[in-house]
Amino acid sequence: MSIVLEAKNVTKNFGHNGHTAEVLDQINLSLEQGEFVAIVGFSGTGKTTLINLLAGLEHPTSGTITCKGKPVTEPSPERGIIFQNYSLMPWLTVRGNVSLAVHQTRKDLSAAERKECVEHYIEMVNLSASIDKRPGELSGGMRQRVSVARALSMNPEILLMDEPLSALDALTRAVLQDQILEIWQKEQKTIVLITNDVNEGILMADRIIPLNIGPKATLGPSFPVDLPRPRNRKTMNHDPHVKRIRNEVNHYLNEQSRQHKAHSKADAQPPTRLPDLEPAHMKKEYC
Amino acid sequence: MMQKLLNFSEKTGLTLLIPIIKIIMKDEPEKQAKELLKLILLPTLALSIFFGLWSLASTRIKTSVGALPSPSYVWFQAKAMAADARAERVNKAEFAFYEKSRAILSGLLTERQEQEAAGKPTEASDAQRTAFVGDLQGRVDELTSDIKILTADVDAAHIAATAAGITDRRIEPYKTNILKFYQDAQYSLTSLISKNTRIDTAIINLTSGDEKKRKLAARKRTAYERQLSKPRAYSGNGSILDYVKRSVVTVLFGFFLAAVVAVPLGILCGLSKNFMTAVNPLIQTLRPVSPLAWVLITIQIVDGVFVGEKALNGELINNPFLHSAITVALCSLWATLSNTALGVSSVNPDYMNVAKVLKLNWFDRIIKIVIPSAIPFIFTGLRITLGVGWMVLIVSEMMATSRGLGWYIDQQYQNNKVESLANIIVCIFIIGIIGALLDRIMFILHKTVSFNDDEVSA
Repeated sequence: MSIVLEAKNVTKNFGHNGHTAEVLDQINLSLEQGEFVAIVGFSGTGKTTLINLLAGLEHPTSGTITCKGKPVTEPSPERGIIFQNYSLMPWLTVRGNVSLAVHQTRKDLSAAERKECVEHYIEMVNLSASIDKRPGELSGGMRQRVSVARALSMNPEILLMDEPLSALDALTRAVLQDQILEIWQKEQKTIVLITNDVNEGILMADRIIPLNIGPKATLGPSFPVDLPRPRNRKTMNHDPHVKRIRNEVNHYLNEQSRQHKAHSKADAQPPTRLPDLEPAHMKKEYC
Repeated sequence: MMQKLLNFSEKTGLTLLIPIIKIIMKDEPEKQAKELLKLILLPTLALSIFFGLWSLASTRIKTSVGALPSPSYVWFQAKAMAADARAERVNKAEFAFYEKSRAILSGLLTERQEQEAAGKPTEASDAQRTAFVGDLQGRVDELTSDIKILTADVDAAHIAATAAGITDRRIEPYKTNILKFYQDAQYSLTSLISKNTRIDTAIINLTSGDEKKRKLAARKRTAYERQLSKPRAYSGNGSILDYVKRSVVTVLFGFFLAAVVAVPLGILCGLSKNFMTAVNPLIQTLRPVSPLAWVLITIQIVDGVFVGEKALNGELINNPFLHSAITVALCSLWATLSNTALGVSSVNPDYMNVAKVLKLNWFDRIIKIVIPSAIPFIFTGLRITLGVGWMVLIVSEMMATSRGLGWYIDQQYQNNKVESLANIIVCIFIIGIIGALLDRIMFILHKTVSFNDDEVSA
């Protein structure tokens, strides 16, 4: 198996001149071709920052990120992102949103082939009936499916998913989990899934990596999920093997949390959450 | 179908329709009936108080030209203005008929000249002309009988009014106007016919044995034919409809100018902080300048550029039209400029992340992401611009003597009569209603282009 995405000793700080927030520290991660990795962590630990680094939307303060041996310097369609807040263009229809990606990334195709391609990916997420609706007319789950279709339509080798399902209700989430798994198996993608739900990781991923609590968050040890696929959501709950993995991960996370609290008390450090410091690209600029 | 209508009324802000539709749809009819009653009663109450106070004021307040016109007097004047407008339409139709007839007659005479020169027989064209003049005579006869009836009506109305003690108001304004216009038309057509008759006489005399008589006939024929070949300009004053039309066209043209300047400039300001820093002091200085100052300098500049032969003489597009349209643009473009700049500079960073992942180039980012996401802001600006423009228009028309509502108000003011004061009040209502309609249209447009309905407030 070849390694497609690799982070070596990656550190990320925000701010400067004494107001530095050290978000990520010594991140080491390597993803194999076709692998499904879930990164689990408490909210505010810097998961989104990690995804942004892997995508190339942000640059590490130190360390290197390489994609297929080449250093990552800017975002690229070969690493598709599914954003937590969908990030669909509200003025475009479902078709428009997906075509925006297809037109940009599949310049080799003819107009008719592009149209077909757009419809293919919308069909894949079962949204053909809503193809001419705008995001405002869709439910949260439908919007996230559009986002999935858009990311897939770029034909990326790696899919980076930033808590794609955390804002959805349990039923919709289950449906989308199945769809993503189905697509993953059919399209042979490498997937990084960021989540705050250990069960979601166990259901979907090949291995689970906890992200320790920041500041200076690091990745914990990798917990392999060696369960046969397809995995059944109902029977899994009673499977002793599943229980063991879940307990191991939860135990690790709780231990981290406990240590962190003790550490904070001793040092009178700020609490478990990140300082309220927006990343530079998130800041709105007004004239 | 009903649901569609409901969505439409919600979209257009026609709040009165919503309960009516819901009652028809049998959706909580009792609650909706109450709502409807409220929507009708409350404004009616407020309007009654307003008109009551106005009536009271009109009995107490003396203006420099007489008593303040009461609501009923203003209503009477409004009807009289409407009557004038209808009569004006008749006058225009009569004039158009006259002009068309003159052109046909002149054409037939030219045709005859050419046939004579070529030595061809002229009987057919003569017969055609005789038939045509016969038709004209028919029209004159119609007018004559209409005039007879109208004269009787107007006289009777005057006698009745005198008996009732009404002296200071226009009586039967529509019929009085029409009577005058019919008399004008009758006169013009009769003179057309008589010129044709004289030409015919001259043609006969051309074959006379007397040389002197022949020369005179040729001279007369040329003179009359030349008179017939000259088109006449419409001499009517225009009516309130013309003024309204001109004002609306002017404000729309000014609005268009403002948008053409402000939207691209606003996009530049939003995109480049340096550009914004450069032009901001200028914008801040020019924005609060009064239309009265702008209009004067605009008049000077426009009249300097379009001067002499280059002066614009169109019925609609002329120098005063440009004066007021440009003033409207100068005063109203600022809202669009600053809103566009704000919209462009505050694009959601999530959209920009998508653009980065897709590797959109600079131009595509502007066209596909930045401008579409700024469209609701741009339309907020355009809505304000049109509102400000309509307000500025009236004063600029007064100063530029562009024959719209502003000019008409000024004319009425110069008249110095109570009747004119009432006309001005009618105009104020017309201006208000058109302003509200324009705003409503922009509101609907804004709603249609917005992705988030909460952003738009009625």
